[in-house]
Amino acid sequence: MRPGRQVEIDEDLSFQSSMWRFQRWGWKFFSLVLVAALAGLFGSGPLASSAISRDSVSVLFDRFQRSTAESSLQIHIAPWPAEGLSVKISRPLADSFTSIVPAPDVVRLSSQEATYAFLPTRQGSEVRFLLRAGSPGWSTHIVKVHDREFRLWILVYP
Amino acid sequence: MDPRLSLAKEGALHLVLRAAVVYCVLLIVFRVAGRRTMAKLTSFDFVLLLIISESTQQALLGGEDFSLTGAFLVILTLVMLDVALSLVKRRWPKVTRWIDGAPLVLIEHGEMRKDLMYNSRVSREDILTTARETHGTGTMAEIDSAILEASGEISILPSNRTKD
Repeated sequence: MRPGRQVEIDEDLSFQSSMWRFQRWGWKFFSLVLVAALAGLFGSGPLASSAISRDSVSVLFDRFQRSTAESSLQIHIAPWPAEGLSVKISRPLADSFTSIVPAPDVVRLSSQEATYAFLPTRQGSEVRFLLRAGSPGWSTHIVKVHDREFRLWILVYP
Repeated sequence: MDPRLSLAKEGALHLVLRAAVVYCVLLIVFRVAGRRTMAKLTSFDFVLLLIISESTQQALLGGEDFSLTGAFLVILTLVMLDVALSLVKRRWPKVTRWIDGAPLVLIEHGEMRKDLMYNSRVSREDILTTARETHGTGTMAEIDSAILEASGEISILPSNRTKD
């Protein structure tokens, strides 16, 4: 207790200064986290959106996703192939799909991959796979559109 | 092993881990936010607290498990973590300061310690409000000491308390 003080208090000003310094760093860190979130580091933003294009095929996806949160994988192809469209997707990614627009005409599942076939009579140039990200962690998925292979690197946050 | 059994085991483990992570994150967030943040609830603070608890609830249960067992496991984890933390604080008292904070004298013998008040985000008005509410005193001259407690509350010691 400080001499002359009427209140018996275990005050420690040096500790208090350390705590305020810690708090100010904490505020800065939290602000950075929020800015990063706005930029899409935790999904759904410019940093998260990724596109891989090869010839007439583009694959758009979120490289950063959150577990159980909704996301999407889009495949653009123009013009729509005369023989129809065949998309092969590695199984862990395919298992997270909740819906596919337009609905595929044929679906074939194997232990390694899922194959979605769309008939040549389809209109439009886009297939959209809506998904709910699964277990947290880094993973690489393979998407094959006809003979073109795309490797998608995806980080799922808890 | 029956796959359903392993899934259930993983689910229970996830619940316990989720609860532990949420407990630690909340502890750090509220410590970084500082003690004035939730000490005195305005109506907006109350709404904010409800929103935080709602968000926390979803993170705790993962939005999928609404079973009684799941809720029981989460409650048990949180309570046991709190017990463990209290044991740690008893064993190492210095840890208490970092977790709970320490009291701070903001006014001593009627003199305001302005730098401490500024850093603690406590205004002269906050102290006068507390003095009015707790002691019915209306001026700074009637306050001998004001202490910001570890809980974030302000304690007022009036100047004339020895004469009472």
